[in-house]
Amino acid sequence: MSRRIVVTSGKGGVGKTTVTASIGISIAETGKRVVLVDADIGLNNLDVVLAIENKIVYDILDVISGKCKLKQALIQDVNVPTLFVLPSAKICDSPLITAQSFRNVVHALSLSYDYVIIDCPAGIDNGFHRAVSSADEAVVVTTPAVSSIRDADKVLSLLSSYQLNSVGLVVNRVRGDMVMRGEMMSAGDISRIVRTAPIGVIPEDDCITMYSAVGRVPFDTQSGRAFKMLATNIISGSNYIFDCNQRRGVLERLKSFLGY
Amino acid sequence: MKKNAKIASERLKQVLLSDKIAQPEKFNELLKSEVVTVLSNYFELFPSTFEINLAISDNVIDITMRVKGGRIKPYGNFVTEIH
Repeated sequence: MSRRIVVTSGKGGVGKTTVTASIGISIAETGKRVVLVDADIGLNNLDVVLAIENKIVYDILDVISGKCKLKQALIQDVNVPTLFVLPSAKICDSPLITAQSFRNVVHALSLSYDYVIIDCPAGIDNGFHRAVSSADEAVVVTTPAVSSIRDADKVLSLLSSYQLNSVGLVVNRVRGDMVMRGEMMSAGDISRIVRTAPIGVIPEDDCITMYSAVGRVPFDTQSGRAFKMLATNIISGSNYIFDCNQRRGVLERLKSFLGY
Repeated sequence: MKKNAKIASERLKQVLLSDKIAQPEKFNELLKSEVVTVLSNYFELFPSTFEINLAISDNVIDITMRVKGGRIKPYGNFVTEIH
């Protein structure tokens, strides 16, 4: 049975696309067939993050308008052969891209892939509805910034009116050292305030900036390991949370494992 | 001195609370008129004497309603209206 997961946040720039790409790669590396759908119509970036921008021939609008078959629009990843991407329309929003037509595309993909992961656009308007109403599960991404958590809280409340099987929180760009000094809210603090359990905590990592410039998601780094844990949690329902401050003692680490 | 994380957390809680209690336009009127419609099946009441108050805290919404000079409708009246 295929899983349809939407990655959303409300606020832009918190790392939705990076999270989508990273969990897509991690899950696909386990041999599962994964397709990433860029639902950010007109402001697509998933192609750039995955460095496939030069390979796009057809996009989701061509599929919906019948210009090409679904299979023709999909781009296979070079490094991970079980990973595919459906690019979003490059130009702008079209009246053809309705919530229903989008759902139909996602449904068609779910018949031949184990995971359909949808990169939701920022904001809470039509694009949000289109992406979320096509999914069964949601991952809400936030950073430790107050503005970002506030938007995540709004999105979580909006998500409660959709029929989703599960909603998990990902706290991105956590600085372990700042959390330790009491200068940044911890993932635990954030998850308690928005009343949603974290399924992933990703440390701030310069490698993300570096790698995204050249178009690849890093995996032999701290953030790479954190993304792998997140992917494992999504696949198996486990609860491995990356410890952003590796130098802490056993008690502190136990506390963070238990969510205190 | 308060740590930044503590300040951020308190500000966030405050912002989320005010987001939560922000009422859309005509919220009170619409809520009141719908509740009056429902309650009229059970009570004899004048909409002008009906009061509804909300007290919203972190995780509870207390809804207090008051009907001045109302009375419960005789049993038969609302049973027929339900069916």
